[in-house]
Amino acid sequence: MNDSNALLTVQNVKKYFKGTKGCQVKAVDDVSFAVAKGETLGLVGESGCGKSTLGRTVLNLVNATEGGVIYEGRDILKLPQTEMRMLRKKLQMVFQNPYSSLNPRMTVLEAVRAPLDIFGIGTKEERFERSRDILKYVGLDEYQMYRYPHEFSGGQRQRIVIARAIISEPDFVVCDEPVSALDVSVRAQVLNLMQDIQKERGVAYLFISHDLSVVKHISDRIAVMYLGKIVEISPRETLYDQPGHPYTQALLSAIPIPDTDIVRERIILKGDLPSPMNPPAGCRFHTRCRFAVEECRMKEPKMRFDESGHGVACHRWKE
Amino acid sequence: MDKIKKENVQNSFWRNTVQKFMKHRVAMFSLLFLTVEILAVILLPLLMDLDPYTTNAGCFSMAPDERFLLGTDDVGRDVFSRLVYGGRVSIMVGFVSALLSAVIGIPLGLLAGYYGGVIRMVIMRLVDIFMSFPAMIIQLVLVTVLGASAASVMLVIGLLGWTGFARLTYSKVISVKEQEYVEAARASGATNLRQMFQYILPNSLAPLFVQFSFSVASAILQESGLSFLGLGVPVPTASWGNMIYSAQSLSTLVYRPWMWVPAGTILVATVLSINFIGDGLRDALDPKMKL
Repeated sequence: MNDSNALLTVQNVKKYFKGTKGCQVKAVDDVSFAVAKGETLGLVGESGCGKSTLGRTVLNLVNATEGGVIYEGRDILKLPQTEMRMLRKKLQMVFQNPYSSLNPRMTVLEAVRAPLDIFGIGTKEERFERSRDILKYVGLDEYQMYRYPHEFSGGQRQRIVIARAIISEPDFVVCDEPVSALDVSVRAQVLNLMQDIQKERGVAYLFISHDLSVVKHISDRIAVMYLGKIVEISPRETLYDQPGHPYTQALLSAIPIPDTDIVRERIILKGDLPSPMNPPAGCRFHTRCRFAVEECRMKEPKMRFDESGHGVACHRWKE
Repeated sequence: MDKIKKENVQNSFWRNTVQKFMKHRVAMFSLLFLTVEILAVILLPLLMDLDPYTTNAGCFSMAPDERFLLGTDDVGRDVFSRLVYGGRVSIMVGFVSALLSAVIGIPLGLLAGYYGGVIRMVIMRLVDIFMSFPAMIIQLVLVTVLGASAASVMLVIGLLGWTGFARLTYSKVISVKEQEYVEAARASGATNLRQMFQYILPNSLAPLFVQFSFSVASAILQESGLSFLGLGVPVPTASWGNMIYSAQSLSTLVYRPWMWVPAGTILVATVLSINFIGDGLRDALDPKMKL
């Protein structure tokens, strides 16, 4: 993807957390990617690889150690607080746990209306009507508007959270594992709602998940993260058909297939995830990689792209 | 439309709390007692001919009879009238001082907890400094400087009582501010003030109600303590504290109990019942507590 139609460009973002005794956790280490208008970029990786931190850093909810996020020609990580706040109208977030991301002391109406109240959009009546309409859109009845979050199921709450995220008509929404806490039966419902919203409103998603099937269902492009770095990024079909990075191959081989007749070769990774406090030198994946050679231990691989926009950070790609 | 609103607007958290509180018998009884008492001190002077100030010539230190329900004090004033009017003063001092403490302490605790860093350092060390002084001594000095009056007593008690509110608010805020809905509010663009007052404070209130009730009881006690030492609400204005003051004279203590026993009793009963209400509130607000 070229930069001209990029909605949001993330450039060399790093987020290091300071630990005790001068230790540093490199949660996000030099990550770059771009999101186009109206597309869904899936972000997958195992627990603790820095997915959520990346999502929060992109929205400037945690301060980045280094790097920039370009939106509308400006680096939002360097904006003063007040200007950043005004931009949040256009950059929203959906959280993982719908049980904790709604204020228990606010009714559903108040929660959904909050972004309008914050930015002073419209008159009181207009705000009310927009909130009511958007709640109807996500499938809540009018009589439920005055209830409190704890009176709703997980799926309903997540739909409320989504309504809150889209009411200010954002261009870009970071979805941090939005369906991980939901039952499988409700999951599809929420995912379909998110896709409908995207079709109708042209909002772009950064969809963070550890569930490869979910990401495959919803994403246009997918980025794979390992130990704070993006190791592969590509259009959805390419990634699932021709995974380039050995880590992606291992991940994909772990997706369960709902058919007992198909026997597939499982790639079992050796060892444990190295500590992000002290990541391996060279390629971070070399300790667990079945193709690792001397070069991988010495030199960190750079992301290389082929003509289809498929990027892989591996020395031995296409060998 | 309005009907829908009314049916659904009840917050069931508070409904549950009220239900649990009502099951707490001692607290309910205390609440009843306190309500009756407050109504009495407000309404009795309107309904009855009470005069706490006139010194009835020739009726000094009289034992209770049909004319003076609880007798007269050593300058001939009606003890019952003074008890009622003193109740007004003592209860008001209790509530106003506690309110003042809350109004100072809660915002400071909120600021310290929300911002952390230097702001927390300054505020919490200030709390430590205030707490390290013996409150009674400071109160004595301040009342002496300000001049004894009901207003200065309220001010002095309120000004020294905020530290408990600040500490409690602080400790609650540092846990509530890490909740995801606060981050969600920030992600939605909420200002710091909005995050503090619309998201964090409403979710930190439960223990503060309890603190408030204990604070009222403590302020009533402090007022009577100051009055007992002659530095509280000055005569001729009646307060329970300065009525007990009369028991400083040994002959009154021993031979004329009607002058101080009613005030002492009602003071103890009031403070106890407020504390019981606080206990009941604490249990009712604790979601893990099954009553």
